[in-house]
Amino acid sequence: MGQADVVIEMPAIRSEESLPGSLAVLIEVPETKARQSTRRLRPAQPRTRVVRRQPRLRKRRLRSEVRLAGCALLALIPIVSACTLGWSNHPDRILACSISDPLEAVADGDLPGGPPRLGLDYQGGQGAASSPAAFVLSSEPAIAVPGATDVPVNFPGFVLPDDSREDLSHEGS
Amino acid sequence: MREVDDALARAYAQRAGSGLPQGVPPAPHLRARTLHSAPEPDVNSEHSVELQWPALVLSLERDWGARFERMAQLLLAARQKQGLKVILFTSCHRAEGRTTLVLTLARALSRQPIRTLVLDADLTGPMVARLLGLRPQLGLEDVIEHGTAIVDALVDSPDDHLTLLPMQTAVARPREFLASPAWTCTLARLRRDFDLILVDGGPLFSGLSAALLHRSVDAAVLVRHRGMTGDRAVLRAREVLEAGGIPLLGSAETFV
Repeated sequence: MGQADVVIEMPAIRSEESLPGSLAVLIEVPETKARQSTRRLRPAQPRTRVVRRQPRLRKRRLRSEVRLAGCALLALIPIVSACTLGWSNHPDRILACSISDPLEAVADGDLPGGPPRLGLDYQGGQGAASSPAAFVLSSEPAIAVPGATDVPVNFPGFVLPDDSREDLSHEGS
Repeated sequence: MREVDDALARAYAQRAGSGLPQGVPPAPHLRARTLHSAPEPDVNSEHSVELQWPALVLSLERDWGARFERMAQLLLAARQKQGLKVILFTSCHRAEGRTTLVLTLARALSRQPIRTLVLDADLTGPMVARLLGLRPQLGLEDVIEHGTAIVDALVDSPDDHLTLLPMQTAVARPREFLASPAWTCTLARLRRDFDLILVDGGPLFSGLSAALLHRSVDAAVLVRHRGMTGDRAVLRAREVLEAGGIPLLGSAETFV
């Protein structure tokens, strides 16, 4: 038996009348839901509705009370905490005061006539001990080195010396 | 092809009747066995399992058991009158209820005084073992491709009075599988050992690929889901089966 004998040979399509007889239906299987049938199999449970009502109601009352108490606590806690902690203690110094005001810096004369200073301004000495470090925003560079652009930059290996000749072995290469 | 199977089955029967030793298999892939001289099916007792029938099968049997009993009687009558022993259950497409129908019908046939075998021959998508909660170590593909003895691959359920020959995985080369002499010898041997074999075959039309047809069967039953398979597909399936020389017993309408 060759392989060709196994594969279905698709015959030419014919009309239904050419086939002998009609196809007999051996069985008709209705659609069945297994889950539904398993539910049917369960024995009918006795109705204990009246007996089970009371504990259910008790449970519901208890749950509703607990829920009500929880909601009340949740609503009252922020109000109470705000009253006791937030409004009773007025801090002498606000944290935001640690950031120095640019106008104040101008008034101090650090930058006369100029824009507000920028950068990290560290006030050393006694001022630093008396007041916290001030942070000032500025658009100018914090550290300015005079004549920094005039300093030549040598990249070793990229600049060849002019005064010396190359090695003879590498000459002309 | 059926003539070859019948000849092999007759040879087996003559060998059993003449009292020759049973340990000489006709094919080299079958292991020598020295078990039974009686025509009882060779089922390894170690492979006796308790099947976990799907809830759908039990539900169908409970609700519509009479219909399955009637179909079982039809198959038994066809076996007695026409000598039909190997029945192929096929469908046009997948998921038309073929395996569920075969399993439910097998349960109805298991109550009859015959030896029934469910052969999972869906080469591209075997489902019998999975539906029954089995994880067989060996399957039909081991028998055909690796020469494992049939005895080791058969799964017997004494409680259900049923025997299975499952498949583990899909076959890589179905054409070679069905064309191999091992398949012919295996089916001939099963014909000898069992009275009725329900072959859960694959669908006739598997997309655009060429479908395979089990030609070593005596007759076929076309399982049809009305909502899925139209009349033209049924007509085409009849033509295919007729061209393959397989008589069509009838159709089994599912999901009615």
